[in-house]
Formats: sequence, structure tokens, C-alpha cells
Amino acid sequence: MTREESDRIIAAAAQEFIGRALEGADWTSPFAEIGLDSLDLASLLLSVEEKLGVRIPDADVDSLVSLRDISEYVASSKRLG
Amino acid sequence: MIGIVDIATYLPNGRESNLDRIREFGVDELFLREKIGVIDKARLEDGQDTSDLCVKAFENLLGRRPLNPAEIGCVVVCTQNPDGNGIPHTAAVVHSKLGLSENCAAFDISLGCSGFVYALSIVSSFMTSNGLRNGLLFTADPYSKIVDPKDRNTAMLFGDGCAATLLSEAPPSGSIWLPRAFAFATRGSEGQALNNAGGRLEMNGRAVFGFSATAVPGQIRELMSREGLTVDQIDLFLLHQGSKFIVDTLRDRLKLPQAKVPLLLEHCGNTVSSTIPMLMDRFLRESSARRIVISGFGVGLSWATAILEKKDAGT
Repeated sequence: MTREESDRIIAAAAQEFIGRALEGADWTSPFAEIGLDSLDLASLLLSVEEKLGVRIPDADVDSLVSLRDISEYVASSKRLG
Repeated sequence: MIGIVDIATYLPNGRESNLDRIREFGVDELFLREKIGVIDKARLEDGQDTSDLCVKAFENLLGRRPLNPAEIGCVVVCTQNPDGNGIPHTAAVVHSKLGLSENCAAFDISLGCSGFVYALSIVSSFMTSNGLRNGLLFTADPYSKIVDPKDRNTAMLFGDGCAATLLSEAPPSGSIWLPRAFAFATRGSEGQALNNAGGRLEMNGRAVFGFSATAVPGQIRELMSREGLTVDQIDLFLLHQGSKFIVDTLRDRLKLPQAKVPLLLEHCGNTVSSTIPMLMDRFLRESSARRIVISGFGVGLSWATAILEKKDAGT
């Protein structure tokens, strides 16, 4: 899997919870600014874990504040280029 | 065959509003309504204990049908917040308060949100094994005893309440809900996600959500498949009301129509093992439903699902 494919999966999962397309959204914006509340985030992380086969321990969750953080976390965990 | 003949519920008169506290908890009204789903909930009144909830629910049951206390063969209380410190067991306290016969078995079951499904199997099997004709199952787990009112994770969710379920053989008139199949599961290794730490409830919301969203749909699908049933053949799915968000999530994951998955927590909250009998009391009384799925999940971590079918007298 490439980084682009991984990001497409993250974007699709996020869109599901936001209820609208993410096009044009700033991936560095905090979750609340793109319309994700704390429960949406729990769902999004679960979806990322299930679809991308990564485990995100509770201890790491506080460091994830934007979609870019999730993207980098997955890329690092799966050693994506 | 033993089944559910009637259910009566009771919510104590103490009330606690979530709307009044949204600023304190840092949430907005939309989040409260659409995600938590609990606007306000009942709280034990001063001096009221777990057994008192059972007595009130029993009085509501008596208001619905004549019931001779001498004919009750067992009284069972499902709770993890018993009277006092749990000795004597709350079922014995209820036995005394209801003035039941000495020839009546009484015991507690220590389970949380999966408790009603477990207890239904335990009590009906116990009654069948021992030739008992009428049994009372109380679910009464007032979490206000252990919820920290300042804990954002739990204070908005849980409400106090009780259900009294009458189990009997099929009555000469009316109908009965008979269990067709059960499934039970436990993940004790993750039990700390919901625990009582020195009298205070602690909940790892993300862990409980992840467990519920992944384990419960699998168990429901598996049980239906084992029984050769499809979604079209189930009239209602009565899911434990952990929060609106988890019920919505389970409905989405199971791809169920909204009309088959009722919600009941706006004014009562998550009443632990009582949410399913409360749903049954509210949504089955005037319903044409003939076959339902019930599923409870939480403390343990424990989850349990059953398929129940309605049988009319004389059929």
C-alpha cells in the first residue's frame, strides 16, 4: 500500500463521520475545525484501525490532533513511502 | 416453557438535567442530543436504595395484573450496586419487603449491561430445572451510587431505574415471549475499561466504544445465522442503550433500518441492565412484533444476545 492509498482510506472514513466531502479541507486543521467531535474521532480511529490494520494505543491518541497526524502515524506504523 | 409474561418499570422521582450542565462539561446542545442522547435522567431519592426500586417496579407490575405473592417461586435481582454492602443479598431484602413465601428462592446476579440477557437464560433455566411456575427478575443498578458527578465520561450517561420482569409458563390468555436462542461472550482481559475504583466508576470511553462497535455486531450476525434468520425476519432489534451514539453505530454497522432499532434514553439515560426490559415494556406492548433480537453489552467486558419469539395463548 502507498501513502496515497492510505490517505484515500483515511479521507473516506473521515467523510463518513463529517457527512460531507473533505475536498479543500486543510489536513493540518484540528479535528473540531473540520467538524469532528470526540465521538466521531473515536469512530474514525476505529475505522482506521480496522481498514488499515494498525493499532493506535490510547497513549498515542492525545498526540493525534489532525488528519495529517493520523496520516503520518499510519505511514510510520506501516512504513509507507 | 418459561418465558416473559409481563414487564413493569420504575424511574425514581429524583431528576438530573444534562441540559443545565452542558457548559460545565464543555459540550453543545447538538452533541448532547445527537450523540449522548440523554437530556435528563432519574436519580435515587434521599433514603431510597436498590431494593426500594424493585419494590416500586413490583407495585407497578401489580397495578397491571393480579399476582399472588405466595405463588412466586423465585426472586432474582441483577445488580452490581446492591443495598448496603451486598450482605445480605438484595434479592433477600426484596423478598422481605414484598412479603414473599419462605418457599421462594432468592439470589442476586452480578452483571452490568449484559445482565438482562444473561438473567433471562439463568432464571428461565432455574425455573425449568426446579419446576417453578412464577419468577420475578429485577434489574436494578443505580449507578448514581458510584458515578462521579464531575466525570464528563459518565455523569451525562447513566440514569437510575428498575424493571420487574415476570417469568412464567404461558398464561391462559394473553401472550408470552419465549427465548429461542442465546449467545454469550466475555473479554475479561479488557475488563478494566469499566471498573469500580474504590467506589467510583471509571470508564475508558474509547475502549468501551471500540469493543461494542466490533464485538456486538458479530455476535448478533452469528446468532441470526446460526438460527437461519435474516434481518427481514426480525421485527425489532432492542439494543442496550449505552448512548445514542453507540446505538446509531451498531445500527449502521449491522445495516438495520432505523424503524427496527428504537431509542429510549432521552429522559432516562443508560439504566444499565434495565435498558432492554424498558425497551420491551415501551415498544412491545402495542406492537405487532413477533420475533425480536435483544443484545446487552458492557461491564466485563461482557456481551450477550438472544432471539425471542411471541406466542399467543392457545397457539
